[in-house]
Amino acid sequence: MNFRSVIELGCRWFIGLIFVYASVHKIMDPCQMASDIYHYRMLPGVLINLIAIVLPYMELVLGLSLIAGFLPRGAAFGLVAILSVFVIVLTINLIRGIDFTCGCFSAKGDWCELFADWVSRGRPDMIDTSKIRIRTACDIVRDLIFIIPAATAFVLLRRRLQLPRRDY
Amino acid sequence: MSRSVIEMIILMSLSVLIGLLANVVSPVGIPLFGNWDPAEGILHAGGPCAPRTSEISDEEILTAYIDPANILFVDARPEQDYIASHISRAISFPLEQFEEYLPDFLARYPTGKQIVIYCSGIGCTDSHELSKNLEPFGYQNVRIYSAGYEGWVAAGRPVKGGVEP
Repeated sequence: MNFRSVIELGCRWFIGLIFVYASVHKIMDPCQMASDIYHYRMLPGVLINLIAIVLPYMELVLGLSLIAGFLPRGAAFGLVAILSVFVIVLTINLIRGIDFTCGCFSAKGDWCELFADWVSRGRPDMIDTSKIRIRTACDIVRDLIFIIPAATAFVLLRRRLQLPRRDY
Repeated sequence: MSRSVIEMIILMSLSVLIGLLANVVSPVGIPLFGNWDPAEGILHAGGPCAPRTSEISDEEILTAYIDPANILFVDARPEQDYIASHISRAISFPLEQFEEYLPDFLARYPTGKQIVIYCSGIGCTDSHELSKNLEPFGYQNVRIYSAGYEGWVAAGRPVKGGVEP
């Protein structure tokens, strides 16, 4: 196994597991998922439940495909696309200053929630809006960081799978 | 179209199929369309997500308001919104500080107390979520005033700033 394969496998497992992990609580609690989507204030009412039903399974299927190596290029590409959409949506809401929960991971113990709590600790003067902004900015940075292994996996997979087959 | 895009479309279509099928058999499955129109009252995804708490009508809330000894008005909005202005005589119980406010609330108000919860307006869900959070503690006589603070103000009813005694 050469260096490139190790990197490819590491990226695939890392991002795949992150997505599988993130999808589980959304699948278990579609009511919360739908409510979180509503609070983004971006989608028309008719789409909220449909997205709440389908999006967690997209994360699960793409994550598992990437780990298992089933149509892995498509899975990596799909995860880069999903992460890009998350970044765009979060950025728009950061600018609009909307009060919402990202719903990215479980509501309690979300890393960015903890980060915002830590920053505002001992600062009672900090208003909730600032805290929401810190949390959203943290969500954006985290998703941007996640794009790196997803995109790396995609590039390496594409290169490897496009090589001419040497099965003679 | 590149191979990667085709593969992605296959996987995403598969996810849509699995998601819809799993939702049908799942005990926590939700309807395909929820109630997200603020004009229809409390917002929820329908099915198992529908609130068990009933709404209080506009006429009823006035009767409730003139009976402060028996009915408690609870403001579920963030603390600073409550301090800025709230329905006169309402107490503050911000949903986002649930754990912090809960002990005092439990100590002060018996579970049989009639409670009316409101948040900022027809589009907010904090009142509904607060009522759900209070349910396990035995509070059964909880109702939601879905027009919320904005509806109260629009009707020209009394509001107050600061903290209630």
